[in-house]
Amino acid sequence: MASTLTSTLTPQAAPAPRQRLRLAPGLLLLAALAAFAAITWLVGWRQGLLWLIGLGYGLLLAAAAFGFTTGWRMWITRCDPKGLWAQFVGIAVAMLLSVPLLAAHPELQGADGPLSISLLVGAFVFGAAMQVADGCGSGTLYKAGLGHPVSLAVLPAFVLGSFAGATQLPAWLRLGALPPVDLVDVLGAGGTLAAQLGALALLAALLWRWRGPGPSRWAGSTVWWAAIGLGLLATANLVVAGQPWGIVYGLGLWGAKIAQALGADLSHNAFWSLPAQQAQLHASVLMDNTSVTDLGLLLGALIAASWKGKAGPSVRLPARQWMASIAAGLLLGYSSRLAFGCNVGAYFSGIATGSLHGWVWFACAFGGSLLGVRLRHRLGMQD
Amino acid sequence: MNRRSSWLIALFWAAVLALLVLDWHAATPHDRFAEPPPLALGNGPAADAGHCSLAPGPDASSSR
Repeated sequence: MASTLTSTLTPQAAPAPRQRLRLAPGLLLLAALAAFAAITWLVGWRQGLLWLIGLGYGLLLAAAAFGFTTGWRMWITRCDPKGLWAQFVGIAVAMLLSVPLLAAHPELQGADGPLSISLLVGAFVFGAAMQVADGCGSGTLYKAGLGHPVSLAVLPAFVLGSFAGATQLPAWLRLGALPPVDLVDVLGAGGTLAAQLGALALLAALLWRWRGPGPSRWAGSTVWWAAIGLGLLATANLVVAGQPWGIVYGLGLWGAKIAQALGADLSHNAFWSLPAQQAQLHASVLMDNTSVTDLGLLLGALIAASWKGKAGPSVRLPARQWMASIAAGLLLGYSSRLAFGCNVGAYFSGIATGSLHGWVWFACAFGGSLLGVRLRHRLGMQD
Repeated sequence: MNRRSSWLIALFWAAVLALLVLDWHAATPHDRFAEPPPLALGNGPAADAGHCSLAPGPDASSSR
């Protein structure tokens, strides 16, 4: 340690580029642990544990390039099923562990969204926008965390869109909504597992039947381990927070806090004036479960990318593609609030905790992605 | 990673840290000794927990 410090201070003995690259992940890991200690000290053990879970999400997503968006696109354009299969494995692992817990512990909350017109519209638009922005909720976060310039530009737009979507959600709900359908309540734990695992197995078999001839984009077994790890972390999220893994509520809250700091009065808005939202607005974001895991995810992704030497990729895009990505980011944020979650809060956590709205979200968003891939090609973006 | 990317990442994290510090100072002071138990399992979620799947409503933060 002393020799390393001396060498960085002495010009003649400056470390080789390889040594410097290896130093960064260690420092970032120390910063992550310091943040864990600070959050635990300032807020409490629950938020500290959620920070660690968020770090894990980011590490796994970035290390395996685990993308919901790319997984869907690789199936649409090349009939490469591996990305979707990995998503199903992650959901299945989380489901196998979460559904029995939800059945036995009424204090735990599933991702039970209502079946609304806004869900149909929001999920379709989200599915299209995530292909143009080349990132969904988790994808935008982890790529912003590792310093991808496009995602760094998309993230503020996502935050603004989430805030606007939450602000207008009550008006959208007046168009029509049915109450949430919690399959654990309707079918019991065994019935929910049998029905949902059967449905995922059927979909996986259909993907196998219609698979393309080329090699998969995801070589090796890393993506499978990442899927299993994400399923385990999602269960830990439920056990610690009492609610499943989510992304976009936190982003909307950040937007609301920024708007409030800039002078906006949210006390008369139908969404933000609710007592639960007012409490969140007046507390630190570190008190919010979703915000803490989102922040951990950002840093976890940077650590993983630094370890692999893939942090801060250089990207050259024409202005039109930059504008399209940022506009898509706005739509991602807005539509995800209408749809009661993104690929994580609605698709992954919704299905894993037995909410029917997760399946509706999946169907509508996949339809939107079929359109989004065409838009992507029209804008000259690569697969 | 080139120099421009390094600066971009540093700038992003500086902004995140600055916003967190400003938010902490603007927020209602938190009594850290009134924290909920470490696990919600067996104890219940925090009273004001928010999630993207919850519909807005007076009981939006309640458990099942």
